[in-house]
Amino acid sequence: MVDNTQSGMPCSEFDALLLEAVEGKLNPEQMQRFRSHADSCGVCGPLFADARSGFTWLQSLAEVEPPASLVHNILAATSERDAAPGKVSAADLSFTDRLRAGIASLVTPLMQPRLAGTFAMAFFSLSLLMNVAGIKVSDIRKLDLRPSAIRNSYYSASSRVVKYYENLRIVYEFQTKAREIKEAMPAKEDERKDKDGSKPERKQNQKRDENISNRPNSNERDNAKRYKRENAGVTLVVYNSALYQHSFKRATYTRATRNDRRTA
Amino acid sequence: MPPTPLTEEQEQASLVRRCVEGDGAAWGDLVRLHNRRVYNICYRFTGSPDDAEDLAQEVFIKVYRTLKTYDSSKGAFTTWVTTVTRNLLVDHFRRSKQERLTDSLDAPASTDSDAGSTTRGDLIEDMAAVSPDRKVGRSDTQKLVQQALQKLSPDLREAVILRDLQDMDYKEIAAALHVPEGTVKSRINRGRAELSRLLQRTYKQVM
Repeated sequence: MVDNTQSGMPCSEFDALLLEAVEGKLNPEQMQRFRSHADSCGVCGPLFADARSGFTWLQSLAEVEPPASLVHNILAATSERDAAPGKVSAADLSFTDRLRAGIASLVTPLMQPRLAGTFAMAFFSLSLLMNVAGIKVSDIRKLDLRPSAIRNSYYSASSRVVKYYENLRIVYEFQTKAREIKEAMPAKEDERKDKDGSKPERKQNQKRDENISNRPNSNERDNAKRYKRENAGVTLVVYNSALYQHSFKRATYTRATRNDRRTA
Repeated sequence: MPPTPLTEEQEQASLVRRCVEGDGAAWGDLVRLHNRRVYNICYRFTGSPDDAEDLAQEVFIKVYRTLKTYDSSKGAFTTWVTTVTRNLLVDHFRRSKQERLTDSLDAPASTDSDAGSTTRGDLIEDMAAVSPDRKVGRSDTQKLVQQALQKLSPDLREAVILRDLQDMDYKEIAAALHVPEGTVKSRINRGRAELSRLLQRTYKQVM
């Protein structure tokens, strides 16, 4: 607003007094000065007229009667929420009450029909899966979940695994040795056959052995020495067992040769 | 010496204390004391009896929930209730404005951006229906003023409602709206003047 002084009153003062003037709260002297300014100022005059007119219009609005059911509805709505407003605050509740309220607030949304149906389906699927897998609830119940029991179970399970692995390793080592000894055996047989004059067969066997082991074929002692040298890390037990198996096979072979000779 | 009678403010503070302590009857008294006033503010702000009823109920539920946070040393209970009411009304206005904007995507655009559900055309139709001799009767006048009130911006509308319809003083209004007293006075003046201009324009169109 332009601060234009008319009839001894600037527009800013007029503006400050406008509210009281409209409501008739100015004293006669102030009101006279105010009116003089309104009559002479082209901006403030219409503003005063509009404000006074608006005030009159608003005064014509009578108070409306609220619906009869409003109080009843409000009291019903608030009594549904709690017995008393003082108990609404969580600060006044005991720990158990707050815990119960917290659990209820978590569980209540889950108890909706839609979610309850989902949970029922999940439970059914889980129980079906357990039945198929052969897991019984009674078995689970028997589980000892004490820390010491869990620790014992862990150690026993890990020792079983280690033992199983070690046993498997020994078995494989036995098999490897047995295979090597078995491969070494035809050399001996060939030597014997050489004496019988079967050279082409010996050559063939020798060639096959070279292909398989790529090691020079020698007699039994050489083989033993070579095994000992190459497999120094292999346990004595394994080696002895291999030797035993080999000697057993040699005896069988000798016996078979003897029988052949007799037959011949 | 007889005990001095409690002022209205003290009486209400006492009722609030009893409510907080769990006195259901005190809560009923508070609702009966304030429901009329809250409903009127809501009705004048929204212009719809149904919305006003829903909002008034919402206000009391909010008051009920937050009653413990009321501090009588910071102001009168009436001012506090007015603040709660005003905040809910502003929220409602924003919601309904959003809805109007969404609706306007389907419907033809209206020139009255700040108007309520009633358009100027409706106003003219209403006035044309009134007898030419009497121009407008009292109930029609109220209807027109109410419709013009809906066209004011929310800031001006709430200021004139609290001052001219609820007779709150500037200090209370300033506390309820969280604005300085000078702003309150300015808004009241502008609100009154704007309302008058709106009504004058309406009359000119009808005449």
